[in-house]
Amino acid sequence: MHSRNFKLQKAGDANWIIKNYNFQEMSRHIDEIIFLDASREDYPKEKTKKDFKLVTDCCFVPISFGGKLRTIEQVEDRFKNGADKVVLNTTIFKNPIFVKEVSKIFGAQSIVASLDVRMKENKYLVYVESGSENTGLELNTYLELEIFNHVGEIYLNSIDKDGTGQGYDIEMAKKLSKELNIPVIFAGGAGNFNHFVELLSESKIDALATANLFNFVGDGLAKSRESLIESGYDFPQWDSKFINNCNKILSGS
Amino acid sequence: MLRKVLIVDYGMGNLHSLISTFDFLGQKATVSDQKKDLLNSTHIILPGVGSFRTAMEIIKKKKLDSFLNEAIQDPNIKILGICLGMQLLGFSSEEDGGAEGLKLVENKITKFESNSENFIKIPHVGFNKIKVSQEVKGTIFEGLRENSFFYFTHSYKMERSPEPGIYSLCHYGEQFISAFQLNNICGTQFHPELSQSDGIRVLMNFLNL
Repeated sequence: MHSRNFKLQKAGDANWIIKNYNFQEMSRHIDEIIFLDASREDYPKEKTKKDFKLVTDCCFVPISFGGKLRTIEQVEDRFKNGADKVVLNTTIFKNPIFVKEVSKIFGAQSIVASLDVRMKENKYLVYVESGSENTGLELNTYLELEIFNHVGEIYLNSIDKDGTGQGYDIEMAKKLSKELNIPVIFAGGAGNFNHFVELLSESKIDALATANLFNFVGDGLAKSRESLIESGYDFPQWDSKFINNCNKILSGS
Repeated sequence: MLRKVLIVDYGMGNLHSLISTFDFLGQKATVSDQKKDLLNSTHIILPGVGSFRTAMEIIKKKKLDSFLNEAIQDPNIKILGICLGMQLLGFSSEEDGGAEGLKLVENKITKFESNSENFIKIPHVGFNKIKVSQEVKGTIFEGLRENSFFYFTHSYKMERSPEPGIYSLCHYGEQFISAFQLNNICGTQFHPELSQSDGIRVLMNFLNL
């Protein structure tokens, strides 16, 4: 069985989060990090790059970077500075030629295609440009676009549920096409451990993500992970103490 | 014993994560493609992300194939290939029309196959368990628990035969070599620098060889 990942999304001032949430410790209990610059300004911003570096320096899991990436140089710069994958959203729809080029140079598995979805007139529609522009395409139709043959994973975010802490959009998960042959990371709405369990029973989802650090502050994530493992879900178990003990352990040898 | 760690820079691979992990461990690491640096080191890391064929073209152009071959003749020099880096240590790969590898081990690299009886998503991306073949004390596998998880991201894998010394398998549609140690030549298909505590343990074990 392909093991399920537990991904964490973070945006905002890295220093503040690292200090106030003890992010480094939190990161020992998750599988991957998605770092999204959701501001409306164009890339690159020196502050964003600095924040990203702070995160990459203290964590030992794959880290994806997303936010207004439009050129090969920008993408290459991210890979050179700690990103294992890049997250592309609007360009998937508006500039698939660029996305194909990224795929050709860096490999399809280096790309996470991000979709923001909201319900309109009883249909799940995909939006781009930070959720402001309606593509007019329904979720499954969008996922049939040829460009999806050139990406490695899908990050599916529910605009309606995002930030509510009321639970994931399970109906959306159920509606997903069975024919997808790349992993789907589901996001939007997690508020507590029960939401994780609810989502994990949907077989079309390969990974769950949350940005709601506040609801899991302290050891909330660690405890959720432990409970999921105890319930029989096949999550890796990390040894946080071991990692901390290794810090500078080889200095002077 | 003074450890001299060298990360081979041939333009492919996420060096940043590796450098930052070594920094965390307090281990100095040089980044280079020069013969004298390779021959002067105790631990060589061969990283790699991308196309096998492109990588071998660059490696041959820079004469890194002959430098690496010369380096591993010295039993005090250990080499660790990571991800594509491990595949490059092999005999050849099917990828991109096919290419010869460094041939430090005899195993061939072939593509994952998905069919109706055995449906798998390709590439293999995410965390997966490994199973070690035998007694592991003094190897890169020392101290790993029964179910150690590591981060994989690849579409091609190393064939099981011939058995490359002490090795671990991983199951994804079929069993493939997830890591091995044959004398002073080591390889991990997974990314130890992206695999939390288990990954750090493997890196520490390699550095302690």
